[in-house]
Amino acid sequence: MRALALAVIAAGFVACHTAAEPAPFELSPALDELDPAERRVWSSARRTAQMIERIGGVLPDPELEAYATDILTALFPEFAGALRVRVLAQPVVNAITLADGSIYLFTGVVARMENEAQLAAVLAHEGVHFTHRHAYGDRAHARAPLTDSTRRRGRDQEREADRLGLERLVAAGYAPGEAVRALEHLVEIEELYGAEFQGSQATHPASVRRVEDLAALAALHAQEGRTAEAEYLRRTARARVAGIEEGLARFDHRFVLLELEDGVAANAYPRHVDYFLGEAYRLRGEEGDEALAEAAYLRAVERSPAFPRAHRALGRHYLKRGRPELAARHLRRYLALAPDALDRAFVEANLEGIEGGPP
Amino acid sequence: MRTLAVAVLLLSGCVQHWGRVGAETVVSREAALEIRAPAGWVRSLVPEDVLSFTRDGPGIQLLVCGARELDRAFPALERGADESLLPSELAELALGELKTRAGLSVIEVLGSEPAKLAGRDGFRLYVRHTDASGLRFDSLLWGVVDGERYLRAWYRAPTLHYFERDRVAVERSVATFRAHR
Repeated sequence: MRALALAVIAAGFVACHTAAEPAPFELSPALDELDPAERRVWSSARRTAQMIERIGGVLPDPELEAYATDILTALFPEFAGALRVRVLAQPVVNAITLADGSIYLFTGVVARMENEAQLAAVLAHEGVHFTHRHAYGDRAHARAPLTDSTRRRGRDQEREADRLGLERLVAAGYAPGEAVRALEHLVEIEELYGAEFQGSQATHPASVRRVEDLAALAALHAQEGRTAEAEYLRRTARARVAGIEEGLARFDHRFVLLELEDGVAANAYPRHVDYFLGEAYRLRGEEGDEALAEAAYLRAVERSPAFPRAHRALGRHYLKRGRPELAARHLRRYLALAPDALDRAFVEANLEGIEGGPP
Repeated sequence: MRTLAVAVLLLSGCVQHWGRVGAETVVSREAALEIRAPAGWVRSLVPEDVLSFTRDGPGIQLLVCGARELDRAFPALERGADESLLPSELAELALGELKTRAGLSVIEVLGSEPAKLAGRDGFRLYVRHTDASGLRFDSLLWGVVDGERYLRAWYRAPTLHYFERDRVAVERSVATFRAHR
């Protein structure tokens, strides 16, 4: 996983310094109730939040923000209004909490979660980082390199957030086993990205161990509870597609294949989802992937004939493989379906090359 | 006094990195590239394998021309390029490289079209982004595969006042870009 996005946010997530561990908040604090040092940490967090807004990193999806904020309110009723959720369009399976209660969900984590209970588990974990003032307590270690002590501290905080987050999840009526499943998704990502992922998660305990610990805690609770899968898939549809699109735009075929090669997960996507799968095979470029990509593009055209980019993909595919008539047919169809396409001049040039004249 | 000395050192360090360009063609022997710079601009004097020019300072406008070995054409993506790529595919790789380097910054595509660079067929991308301070920048990016190398030219300036003002001079300059290898 490319950790660049995390680095941008980390600048605001970790701030300055003091020695004693701060006591958890009991209620939403007002800014003027904080001591000057913590107020500075909050101000730094707010500047980070403003910077993220300025550079356009936030996915404009107010419905999903409201949905996630409602879940947070159910999990942390005494902190209603203090915790706010924003969604970042990046194929990163993670979430980040700033000192002031701003929680950022990456679309990658929205995509990998299978139901509302799993998202609630993520939000409960992140909410504990806020209520227990982890970012404020971290300020001692802000600009120092990672040491055993800071790693241990980070890992302790993650365990605390896992444990207390699970209690919040159960109290809000969600199935506790879904917290374990949510964490298992993180293990899948660790396995997929290997050392690249480990580098960005150096302060987190190994996820396999976390899954075991959390499963033991979850087993102490009654297993029934809400999952709300259909509601979740409906409310998160736009963000999940945005995550896939960003993944492909950054040539990250691994995340897209993990998400879409499982037919069950793919069913939660729009009818043209096979176009994304085809693109992921094309980008992977291993033996046999050309055929897999072509078949996926064809399925996309069958299932969603008016989706323009599947025609462009087929047109390019046939153009590069010496089948000009088929290429021209699909490229013309692309231009007809997307007359204002930004890449129109490229496609017209392709058609000119095939047909020897303007399309 | 000590502070003053440090300030003078820093200042002179900055000044020494850029030098006035005359009417002649500027050559990078390391990269075997040449280009006629926009009239009145200054060039970076730091020896490197790219040619960098600006008129009002690199924080305002910047024109960079360079070449990368094909197998390392897009380092942030950890991907190479090859002759089989369509110009539109090359443009998508260049955009992916930009997006990956930009992290959370949104790169808005305003145009993408076929274009020539160093006499070869490639692409020209027109994109916009806002930096962390809130200033909008427009960029033009050209790229082609030329034998064993990926050639690129990149022009970036604030959307307000500068981008359009210098665009024609930059495009004229980029049209003189040549590679010798």
